[in-house]
Formats: sequence, structure tokens, C-alpha cells
Amino acid sequence: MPDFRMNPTPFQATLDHVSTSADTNGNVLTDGKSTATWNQVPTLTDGILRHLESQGIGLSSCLAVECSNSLPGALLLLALFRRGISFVLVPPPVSADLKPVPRFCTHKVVAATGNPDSAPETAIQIDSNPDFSGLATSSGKLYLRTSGSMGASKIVVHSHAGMIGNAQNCILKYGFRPASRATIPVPIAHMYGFGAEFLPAALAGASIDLQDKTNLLKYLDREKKFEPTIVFATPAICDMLAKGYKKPRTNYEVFVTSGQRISEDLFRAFDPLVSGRLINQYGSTEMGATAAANPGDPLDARATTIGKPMNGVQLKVTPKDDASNGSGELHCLHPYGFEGYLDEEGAWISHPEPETWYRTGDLAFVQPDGEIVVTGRADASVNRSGYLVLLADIERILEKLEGIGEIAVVAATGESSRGQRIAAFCVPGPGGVVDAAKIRERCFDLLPHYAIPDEVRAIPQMPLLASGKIDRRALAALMNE
Amino acid sequence: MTNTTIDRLSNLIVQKLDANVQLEDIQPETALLESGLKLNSLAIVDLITAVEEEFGIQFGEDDLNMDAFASVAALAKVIDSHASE
Repeated sequence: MPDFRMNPTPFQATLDHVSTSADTNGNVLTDGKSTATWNQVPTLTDGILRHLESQGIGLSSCLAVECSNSLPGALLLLALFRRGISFVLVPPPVSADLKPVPRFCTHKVVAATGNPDSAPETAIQIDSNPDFSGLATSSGKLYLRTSGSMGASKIVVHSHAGMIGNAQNCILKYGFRPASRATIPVPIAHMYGFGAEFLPAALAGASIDLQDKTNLLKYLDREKKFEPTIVFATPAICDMLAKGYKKPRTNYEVFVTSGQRISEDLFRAFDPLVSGRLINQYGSTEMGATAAANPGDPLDARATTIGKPMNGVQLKVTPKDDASNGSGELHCLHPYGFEGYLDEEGAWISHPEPETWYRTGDLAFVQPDGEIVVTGRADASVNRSGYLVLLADIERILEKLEGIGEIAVVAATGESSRGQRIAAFCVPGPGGVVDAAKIRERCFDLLPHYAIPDEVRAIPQMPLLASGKIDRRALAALMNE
Repeated sequence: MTNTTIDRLSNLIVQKLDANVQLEDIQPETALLESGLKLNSLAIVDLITAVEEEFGIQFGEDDLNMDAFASVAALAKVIDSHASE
């Protein structure tokens, strides 16, 4: 039997502390079907590590881990961090977003929802990767796929140590502690759910409630039983709860939204329902949690800005020219940022030097008090009648129109008389109605002629990527039909 | 009474929800979620709004649970309990 305690990883020391501390006594890790207490976690993760070891998995292996928001899934991730085994987080297959196992992975490991009466390792299925390239990879790495919102997916490289640093920043920012009760309704197979909520909550020994494929009824049911104090959600979840909450909640210390920019209207409608504890986090798969407002900040600051950078993180805006009024692309220097990108074979696509500023691709400006306002994507721009048009600018203007809940402006192939064709896709807001023809009429009053979308379409909901971000390529494809 | 509610509710699911459900897919005991019509997160919220409008009722939060949405008949029963108030 392997002795996992021979060379304890930093994470193992923390986890051992969490599991034996009197403060965490009785704190649970649950998926609603199965539950473990923190003091059971060392034994349960040992069982998983022995199971992996029996299949020849050790520090020289690299696993492709497909993991839903289940107790066996969460314990598997904790076990891999405890031991320092490298793994790629592969989101559970969604038909539209099916990703292959990278060729540098030795095994594919799937954690299913467990049977409450069985040991967690019985819910973990291990297969060796028939396409393994034989490439040796280092231990202690976490690989995540980019969402590929504007292009092909790449593999982002993080170290376990960097992820723990990132998690400690989130503990500092959001006040995770043993008395915290963290609900996770977003996938723990992505940076946001894993890095910003699951790991910090685990390191703090907080109680954790994992919700798989949440919906309003599930959320309300689990919320009543678990009484969360902190949750990390998306604008879509905020919208769902804004419609479903019949009375305001007082249990939340922090209600975080991220994944994509939340519209100011939705923010202001939902914030009172969570007692003014809503905040917008800014982050990415590459950088992890980067900036957020504080829960105690005034509503205006929380609704319109991403607050200030997290501990040790630097953000700067580089305006293109004097005419951009201080607005420009946001760059980030993050002490726990990624190491670079790999391709499917495990070869570096890019491997920047440490201390390299990362181009976020987002447009932002800095307010006089240092708070940052993110306005959209830098690369989503088109040339129209000789003018550079930022699609995000059109979105920001049109999203204020009555009835609109969500809007996405995309560029499509083909030209109109004004240049590259653009279309606005609108989803009605709560109780709102979207009349596409009327919106296009209003565009003539609100936008310069070259920025008026060639087409406005009302759609019932935005197509989303597995990450929860708007699938802009699917929208562009709709337009090309 | 409930039969009428079931019919109205079934028609509403077919006509008001963008969930690709046909009338012949719906029986009183048909589950609304996973094992039946597989209404997704967005469709559930739309259904709640549509039912409140169609029947002129307001669900309480206690009504918004898995049991109430277990089947078409179960939801019809909750609707009836409000309509008779």
C-alpha cells in the first residue's frame, strides 16, 4: 500500500488540518444524495487513491477527469490534489461541445453520481487512454480547456500550487471560513466553480452543497435545506432566481455572479432579493479569480464595476490612442496565473516568461477611485463604412431598451452595404416582449448609421457554451442560415 | 374540475413553452422533468410564469417544489388549490 504521507503536498497538510480541526466538526460535503463530513475526507480520499494506484495510476500519470457536481467527483478532485497527480478537467459531454481526451493523458477517469451506501471509489470508472502518445508530463499540474467562445479550444496549464494561491485569494476576498456554507450550482469541472468556489471552500473547511444541473425547483429545495451563506452563480441563474423568489433572502453573506457580464438591469433587480450581497467577479480560465467588488460596496459600484484586483493581482488598461477616452484592452499580471497553452498532443502553443502581462481580450476603463469597468470584448469588432465598430458598444446601448433582457451582437460572414454584416440577437427580459422590427427602428435613433445591425432577431434564449458563456459562433451560424 | 385544469395546462405547455412538446406526448401522469417532458431550467421558469398568467394565480414559494411539478396532474392539483381560494 502506498504511503501518501511520505512527501505531503502543501494541500495535504491543509486538508489534514481541516479534517481534524474542531472548527469544522460536523461540516459536510454533500450532493444532496450522498454526504460526507470533513473528518471522513482523509479516509475517503485514501480509498480513492488506493483504487487509482491499483490501476497503475501514480505521479507520472496524467488523467482526463470527467466530473459532475457529485460527492464522488468532489472527493476525486480532492484526492488528486492531495497526492499531486496531474489531470485535465474535461466537462461532462454535452452533445454540442464534445471534447476528446488529449493524447498526453494516460487514463480517462469518470466520476458518476454515487450510491450513498457504497464507497465513493465504486462510482469512479477508470480506463486507459488508447490514444496515449507516450509523452511524459510533470506531476502537480491542472489542465483546463478554454471555452473557445471566439475560436478553437486550447488547453490551459496551471500548477496545483498556483490554484491553491488563487483559492487563498478567494478566501481573503469572500471570507470563506469553517462556518461558511457554500452552494455550488456551476460546474466544478471549470475554473470558476473549481478554482473560485470549491477549492477555497475546501481549504477553509466550509460546508459545501454541490448541485448538478440546477433548476429553480432544485435550487429552492436545496437552498431551504442547506441555508447557504455563499454561492457562485451566473447571470442565467440570477435571472432564474429573480423570477422564482417570492420573497427576499437574508441567508447570503455573498452572492457572486460571473462567467459573463451581468446586465445592469438584472443586477439591480436581483440584488435586493439577496439583501444587497450581489457582486460581480471578473476572471478567466487563464488567470483564475482576478477582481471583484466587495459585498459591502455601494450598489452603484457593485452593479457597474468589477471592483479592484485581488491580492497581488495587477490590472492595467492600455488605450489605443487619445481618442479612446481612457478605454482600452485590459491586461493582467497575476501571481497565480497560467503557465501557458498546450495543444492536444501536449506541446506548448505558447509558454510566456513569468511576469508577462496577459492580454485579457476584454475592453475596460478605470474609474477615478480605481474600480474597473469592463465594457466588452476587444476582439469583437468589425469595420463598417470605414469605422471600427466594437460590437460590445452596440450591445451596451441596445441592452438599455425596454423589454430586452439579454443582447448579443455578432459579426457574420458576408457584406452589407455598410461593410461586414452584423446582427443583434435579443432575448426578452422578465415579463418583457421583444419586437425585432421596433428595436431595429430604434437603432436608427440610438446608433451612428454605420453601427446599425443589418438584422435584429428576437430569440427565446441565448445558445450557451458548456462554460455558460454566450455561444457567439452559434449565433453567427444562425445568421448565416 | 381537475380534468379541465389538466387540459388547459397541457395546451399551455404545448403552446406557450419553447420545449418542443406535442399534445400527444402529455398524459395526466406524464412527468414534467427528467423522466418525462424533460423541461429544462429555462422552460420551468417559463412554465411558472405562463401558469400564473393563464390561471390568474400566484404560486407561493412552498408550491415551487419537485412534488408539485412531479407530473401534469400534480401541478393541476396545485393550480386548483389556488383557484378555489
